[in-house]
Order: sequence, then structure tokens, then C-alpha cells
Amino acid sequence: MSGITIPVQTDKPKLAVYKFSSCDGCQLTLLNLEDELLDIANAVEIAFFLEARRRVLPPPYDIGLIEGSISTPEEEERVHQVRRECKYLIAIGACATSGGIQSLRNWADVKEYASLVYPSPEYLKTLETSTPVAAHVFVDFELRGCPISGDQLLEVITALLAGRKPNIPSYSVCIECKRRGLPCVLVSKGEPCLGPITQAGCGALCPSCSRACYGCFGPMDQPNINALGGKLTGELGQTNRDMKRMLRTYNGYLEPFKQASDEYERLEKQEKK
Amino acid sequence: MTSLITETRPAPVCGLDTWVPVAAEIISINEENFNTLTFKMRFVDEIHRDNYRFLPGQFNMLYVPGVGEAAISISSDPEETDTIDHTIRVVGSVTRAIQRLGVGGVVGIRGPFGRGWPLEAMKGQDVVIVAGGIGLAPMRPAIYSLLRHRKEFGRVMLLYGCRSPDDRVFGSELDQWTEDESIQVLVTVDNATGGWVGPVGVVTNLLQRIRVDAQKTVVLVCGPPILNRVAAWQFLQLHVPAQQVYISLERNMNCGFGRCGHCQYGRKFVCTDGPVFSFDEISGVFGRKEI
Amino acid sequence: MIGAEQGIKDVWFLSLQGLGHMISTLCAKGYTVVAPVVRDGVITFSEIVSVDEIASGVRDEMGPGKYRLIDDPLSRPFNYVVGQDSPKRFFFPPKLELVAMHVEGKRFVLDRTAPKPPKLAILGIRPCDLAAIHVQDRVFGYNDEGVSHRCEADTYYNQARKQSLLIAVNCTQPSATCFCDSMGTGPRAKEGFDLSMTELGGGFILRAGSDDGRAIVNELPVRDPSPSEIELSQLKIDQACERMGRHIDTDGLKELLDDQIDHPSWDEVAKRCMACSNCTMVCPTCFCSTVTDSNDLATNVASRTRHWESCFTHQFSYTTAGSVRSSLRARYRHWMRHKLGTWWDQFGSSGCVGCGRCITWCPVGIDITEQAAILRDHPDASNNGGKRQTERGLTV
Ligand SMILES: Cc1cc2nc3c(=O)[nH]c(=O)nc-3n(C[C@H](O)[C@H](O)[C@H](O)COP(=O)(O)OP(=O)(O)OC[C@H]3O[C@@H](n4cnc5c(N)ncnc54)[C@H](O)[C@@H]3O)c2cc1C
Ligand code: SF4
Ligand code: SF4
Ligand code: SF4
Ligand code: SF4
Ligand code: SF4
Ligand code: FES
Repeated sequence: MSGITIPVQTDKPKLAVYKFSSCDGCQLTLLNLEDELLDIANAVEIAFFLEARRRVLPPPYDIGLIEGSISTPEEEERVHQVRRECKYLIAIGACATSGGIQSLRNWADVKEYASLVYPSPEYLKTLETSTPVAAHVFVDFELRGCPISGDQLLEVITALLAGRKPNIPSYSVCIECKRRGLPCVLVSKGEPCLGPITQAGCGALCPSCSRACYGCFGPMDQPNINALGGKLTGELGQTNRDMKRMLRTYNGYLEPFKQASDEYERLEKQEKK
Repeated sequence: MTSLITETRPAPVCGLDTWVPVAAEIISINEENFNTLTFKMRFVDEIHRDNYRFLPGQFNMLYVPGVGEAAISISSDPEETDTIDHTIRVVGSVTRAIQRLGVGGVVGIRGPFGRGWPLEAMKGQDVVIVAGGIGLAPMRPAIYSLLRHRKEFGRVMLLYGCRSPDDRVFGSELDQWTEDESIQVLVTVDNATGGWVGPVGVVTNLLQRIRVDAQKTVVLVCGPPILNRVAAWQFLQLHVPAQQVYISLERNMNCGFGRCGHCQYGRKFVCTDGPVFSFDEISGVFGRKEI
Repeated sequence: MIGAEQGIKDVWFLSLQGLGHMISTLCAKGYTVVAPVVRDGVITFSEIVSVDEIASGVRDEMGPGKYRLIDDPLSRPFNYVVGQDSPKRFFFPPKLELVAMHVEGKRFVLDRTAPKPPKLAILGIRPCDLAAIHVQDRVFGYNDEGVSHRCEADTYYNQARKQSLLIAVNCTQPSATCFCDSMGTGPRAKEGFDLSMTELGGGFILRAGSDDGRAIVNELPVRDPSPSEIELSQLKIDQACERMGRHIDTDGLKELLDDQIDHPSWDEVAKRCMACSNCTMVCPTCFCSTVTDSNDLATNVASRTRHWESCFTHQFSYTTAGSVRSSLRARYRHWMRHKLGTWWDQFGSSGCVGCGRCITWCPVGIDITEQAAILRDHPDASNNGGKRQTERGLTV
């Protein structure tokens, strides 16, 4: 966090919300944060939020929330415009921070796909890859999750307005899981849980429903994917293909998940031979 | 390994509980260099002004409501506690927030915490103070004490290093001490700018310029890790006894009173056992990576 | 054996049915009763109001990185040892708001202070966990016996501890990851309990260790135990010593850990460790925490909240110059050295009580006893007794 502080001003700081390529789920979550949105709306002026209201105040904006990945040439251009409009830009959700589920296409040849499907592929406006916002412009803060956690969004905005570092931990989901006293599904049930390599933030949502974490908050700080992979593919009977799929589901294009998933793909191919 | 530090520590001020800071007002700010400021603070409530005492080398946890806390050494005269100084390098969220508060702003204070310099053990001895950059801040209260009771100590030498002449903290005082000649002051800079005629290079080079009577010398060191290490080893090589070489260390701190675990350094808690250690207390781990 | 038992008045026999009386007596005396229950396939300490809630008819099987509860034909309580969680969270909550306040003029005005802890009776504490409570007493400054502590008392912890009742259950069937015998903490609870129990076929040998404990017994349908019942209870515990799943040679261990600070095995263990922090979260003695500050957008109230923290996180040792322990090697080494070595210097006891949780609940099954054995059996001779040459050729 580079720590730009919003100068104290008589008017409320202006907030803009932008949407790029993302599934509707992300957009919905943002609107569903009713209580949090109410608090936010009291503290900031919602100046640009096309999905929620028609009224648009002109830029510049103090805080920009950007949701979705960059996957078309139009978006590639527009994201630079967004950067110019916002003092402080926060990428929210797995799409905006890692390229999202649609980044699965990054491992396939889009042109090849397109020429098979469309008669005149040259009119199709799709980039080769779906990439995170930070691959295109400088991002001040990234909020992970698919979807993001409402509490974390509120925390980032509150912290920003108070001029402090947001309390967004970079450690594992396991810490949140254990603080809540949830029985560990990996150790007590043999479920292939990605909690030990995934960044906290969700409050260990999946383990609280007796399910394994599938890594939607992306890699934690310095994850040891190999070590977990050894346990999952060994004792817990996951295949290299399973590992590849698990790592690529939500944040596959984010390092070091990307590199590890490529490695499992290599192993998978080796197996076939 | 009995420590020569025998001073009894004053009780910390805090509110209802050790975690509740006490309000203090920023009454003036002095710019030391481009990112370092000295804040003069005064407790809002008289009772704390009356009761607050500290030892040179101790630190406070400074709190900005809703933002966080930072461990900051006390940099003023221990015998003038109506106001207390903190010399702060603005580097992150808490230090920036303190700067933003400005004169008239209210911060919280918990402290003083930690063990300070061995002033009792320094009596009758020569004292060599080695400081780098902001490391001069925890030295200033010790220097004030030395100057107040000058006759009780032998020769006093201050070796100070910083990036450039403009980066010096307490510049006017350094000039004044140099002029006074009550202590010997040697300043070196990494980059000579603006007509600097003094020494250039790392602070440990200054050692060649002073005479050290190893057995009757107490050394105080505070600076970045590399300076601490090289300085400590140089004095040990000159046969200054390990229990007479004191180093003030920096670690991540959260509680300040030995509860949170963050500041551990081998068997020591830097917040309560330190931040000042004699070399023999930490010789097993000192200079080792990632302890 | 019997002669060794001082104060025979402090020993009774409580029938299995008597356990129900004990629970209702505790409830009637205003205690919140906490006991082991089955939650999602794991033994967990939880609040109960009736004896039926106590886990029974199950047995636990564990190993490194593995835990399973299986049905047990003997439908008796306490036929299992320790689960994932220890009683730690009841005295040292994983999340606690310490204070909330706002600035008014030039003063801080308190809006909230830490909550008052409940009056707890914790039933079914294993001897290792009981020892762990006493280890934490020293950390949090619980001052019951006039012991002096290194720092002042933690308010919540002290209040919670002072009004709590500790009811231990001695171990007769250690698990595959237990090594309390090596650490001198079990399988028999020697001191520091209000009541202790040892299971026999139809009931328990009950002992009181405090006046509060005796006050409870006064209300229970107890009888005097027969000499053979006492003898049998001793025997059951004695043979538990022989069946410890794991073992650590603690002789000179602290010095060994100091010596072997550069041992190559730290690199090996770092390849397996994920820094997930599970080992420290489940450890009944780990006390690290972080207080974070936040503020409320609507009210401007600033709050300070304490969370469990772990020395395995990267942020733990962060300073503006970077994290002090950024490699996994350094973090694992710090953890193990703290548990078995430096804790002695800090608090005058071991930081490990041998409960085995860090082995069982480590997702990849890293084993502290194994690592200790490697250091002992294959010491790195080049370590020169912990001495080393500095970069300037000085030996320190
Ligand atoms: C005993 C002691 C005395 C100190 N004396 C001074 C002094 O006199 N003047 C001065 O300018 N600085 C001093 N420091 C360093 C000062 O504590 C840090 O620069 C400060 O904590 C940075 O906080 P921040 O929020 O501005 O930075 P950020 O980078 O935003 O830090 C975020 C958090 O990280 C932690 N942190 C970061 N750096 C440090 C650090 N070096 N030590 C401990 N915790 C850290 C804190 O918890 C802090 O709240 C001292 C440190 C210690 C341990
Ligand atoms: S259930 Fe998953 S997230 Fe929770 S502790 Fe176990 S491995 Fe970690
Ligand atoms: S447990 Fe894992 S998959 Fe589930 S919400 Fe949290 S981070 Fe996402
Ligand atoms: S092992 Fe780590 S988490 Fe546990 S008490 Fe020690 S430093 Fe704290
Ligand atoms: S270190 Fe491991 S065995 Fe020892 S007390 Fe902690 S969890 Fe139990
Ligand atoms: S030792 Fe095991 S439980 Fe502990 S941090 Fe490493 S992998 Fe996690
Ligand atoms: S700062 Fe908390 S123990 Fe030292």
C-alpha cells in the first residue's frame, strides 16, 4: 500500500465503481453489502456507479473500485482512463486481481478457438488473455476473493479514509479457521483443503461448512504449494490433474499458483506418456 | 551474565489497562531533516505530567486513535519531564498519521517501556557513543545526562554517521556540543554535499580517530543492523570487555511489555529485556541471520 | 502405593452416575460448565448443561497430520485424549476487543472496555493441558502463589483464571502423538487442579486439590474408595507411561538447540513446512497475539482488538527494513527453539508440554520429536558448540 492519504476536504471524498469483465456474481455481492454500503455511503459520495444509479458526477474521483479483469481491447484502453480518473485505485475480487475464472483461456489459443467457432474471427474483439488490472495500470491496493468479503471492503475504505494501513492479513486461511475453532477438514476428514496456501480474509467460510477451501482468495504470502501438493497427491489421493484444476479454479493466473499449476500440468502430461 | 544495568525502571503510565494509552498533546514540531521531525509532547492530564519519569534509552508506544501504534524512543532530557520529545522518521502509516496531526494534535502514549543505557555503570568510565541516522534519538537523553553530570564520567566521545550533512538530526545541538568541547563529537557522512569539510565514509571508520582505553571504556551503539554489528566487533577486537559494549536493538513491537511475542530475539524480549543489551547477553545470536 | 497418598480424606470414589450430579452441582453453583463434546468428528471443548452432551462411545486415532474419531463399544466418557483445541481459548480468547474510545476535545473517552469473562468450570482437562494452563499463568502474570512474573498481569486472563475451576482427568490411554511423559507433565495430573479424576470401570477415583474442589465434592454422592480401587487407578496411569506414542530426550536439549542453530536439517524441514501456523494455533501454550487498531466510519469510535498471532506469519517480525524471519527455515527454527529451549530462559519452564497437537494437526505431519531426534543423533559438528567466526575473524 503506497499510502496516499486523502486530503481533508469539506466535501465528502468521491467514490467511483467500475466494472470490467466479471461474472454477475461479483457485481451482486457489491450491491448486496447493504449494511456496509450504507456506512460507506455516509462517509463518501458515490459519484460513479453505473450499475447502481444513473447520476454521474464528473471525475476526478478520490477512490476507485475496479471489478473485473481486462479481456477486450476496449477494456485495455478504458482501464488507463480509469487510472487517470482516480487518485486511489483498488482492484476488487479474483477477476480484477488475478484475471479470474476467465483467465482459464490464457492456457488455450483464443484465435484457434475463435476460428473454429466464428466464421469471421477477425471481427471478434477478444484479447489473447484475461489479465488482472495490475498487469495494465498501477493499482494501489488489491482486495482478493471470489467474491470479496464485505467486511474487508469496508475495512479498506475505512482505513483509507482514516489514513492507516488496512488490516488485511496475508497469512493463511488456517489461522482464521483455527481462531474460530473449526475442526480441520484436512486432518480430520482427509479433504483436499487449500487453506494452508490460501490467503485469509473469508473467515474460513468453507471449513465452517465442513468443506475444503478451494483457494478463492488466492495465494497467501510465500505459500509452500509443493509441500501441500505432496500431502494431497500422496496420502489424500489427488491426481496431478486435480491439483492443476484446484489451483486454476479462481486464481490460476496469479503467481505462484500459475507456476505450480503449470508444473502439475507438465506432470499430468508426463503421466499420459 | 549479570547485567551492569541496575537502574530501577519507572512505572509506565497508561489508562485503565496497559492497553489504554494516555492522551498527550503535540505542542511543537522541529524539522530535523527531510523526513525526520522532533515532536514535543505534553500529557493532557496533570497527574501524568507529574508522575511520568523515564530513563535514557527507554521508549514509548505512540498511538494514533484508529490508526495504530509505533515504538518510538524518548529523545529529550530525562530530568525535564514536563514535556517529552520524540524524534520520528516518517516511514509508514502511524508515523505519517502523527505528522498529519500537527501541532495541537492529540496522540496516545503508553510507556516508558524497556531497559535503558547503563548510566550507573558508565560512571568513572570513558564513554564512546556510536550512532547512525535516527539512532541518535535514544542517545540524546543519555548525552543530556552525561552533560548534566559531566564530572562523574571520563572522556565522552560521540561518533555519528548519516547519509549527507542535511540528514543529520539534532544538527544545532551537534554543532553546540562540538563547540563546547565538553564531549568530543565526530560526524561522518556517506555523501559530502554543500561544502561539507568533515570526514566522509562509514561511521566505524571514525574509530581510527579516537583513542580507546579498552578496560575503562563503555560503548553505546545504536544504528542500522550493519552498523551495530561492525561497531560491536570493532570494539571487541580492541579488547573492550563484552559486558561494556551496549547495543540498542530494533524489532517489531506490538505490546511493549513482554506479552505479544513479536519482539523476541533468541531468549530475549527486546521490549522488556532490552532494547539495550550488553554484548555478552546476546553473543550467542548477535549478528546471526533471521534470529 | 497407598501410603504415598497423603491426606486420604482428599480421595473419593464417584460413580459414573455421580458425574451427572457433578455437572448439575457446578451449574447450580453458577459455573458455566465446559467439557469435551463431539463436534464434526473431532473432540472439542464446549459449553454443556447436561452430562449426556459429554462425548462418549468414541475413541480417537491419530498420527502425524491425521485424526479420526471411531466408534467405541465402551460407551464411556473420556475414552479419548486431546482434541484439536485446548482450554486455551477460554482464558486467552482468539479475538478480544480490549477497548474502544473516541477523542473528545483533547481527551480520550472510553466507550467500551474488554468484556467480563464467564465463571468457568472446565471438566476433562488432560494433565498436559493442565500443565499448559500453568505455563500460560506465568506468561499472563496470573499471580496465585505470589510468584513474580516478568510483566504485569493480563486483566482478562487473570479474572477468567481466578474464578475458574479446573477438573482434570488423568490419562490411561495415550495417543500415538502424546509425549507428556518425556516433558514431565503427565499422564498423571500432579498439582494445580481443583479436582482430578481417574477412570475405573464403574466410576472415578476423585481427588481434590483445592478448597473450591472440596466444596464441590461435599455436594456429591461419593464414597471412600477401596485400597484396591486406588491401587488399580495407579496401575492404569503407570502403564500409560509405558505406552506413550512419542518421546523426546530432554536432557541438555536447550543447549543442543543453541548449538545446532546452523544445522542443515532446518533447511529440510523448511521444504515441508507451509507456515500455515496450525501448530501454533493448536498449541496450548503459544501466547502470541497482535493488537490491531480500527475505527468506525459512522461513529468515529476507535477500537483495539487482540487476535491470536503466530511466529510463522511473515508479518510477525516485520519492521520497516523487512521481516526479520523471512525464510521458512528461520520461522520453523524459531518456533522449535522457543518451545523447547528459549522458553526456559523467559519463563522458567518448557514451552512444550508434550500434548502432541502440533504433530497431529500439522496438515503435513511435521513432527517436533522427530526434529529433536535428528538434532541429537546427527549433530552438525562444524557448529563449534554454538561459537562462530564473525565476518571480521572474531570468534564469539
Ligand atoms: C525500541 C524501538 C525504538 C524506536 N525508536 C524510534 C525512534 O526514536 N524514532 C523513529 O523514527 N523510529 C523508531 N523506531 C522505529 C519505529 O517503531 C518504526 O519506524 C515504526 O513502528 C513504523 O511505524 P509505521 O506505522 O509508521 O510504519 P509501517 O511500515 O506502516 O508499519 C506498520 C506496522 O509495522 C510495525 N513496524 C514497522 N516497523 C517497525 C519497527 N522498526 N519496529 C517495530 N515495529 C515496526 C508496527 O507494528 C507498525 O505499526 C523504534 C523502534 C523500536 C523497536
Ligand atoms: S480445514 Fe483447511 S483451512 Fe482449516 S485448518 Fe484445516 S487445512 Fe487449514
Ligand atoms: S475457505 Fe477458501 S474457497 Fe472458501 S471462501 Fe475462504 S478462501 Fe474462498
Ligand atoms: S512458538 Fe511462536 S507463536 Fe508460539 S509462543 Fe513462541 S513465538 Fe509465539
Ligand atoms: S509444542 Fe506441540 S506437543 Fe508441545 S505443547 Fe505445543 S502443541 Fe503440544
Ligand atoms: S509445522 Fe506444520 S502446522 Fe506448523 S506451520 Fe509448518 S506446516 Fe503448518
Ligand atoms: S513487544 Fe510484545 S513482547 Fe515485546
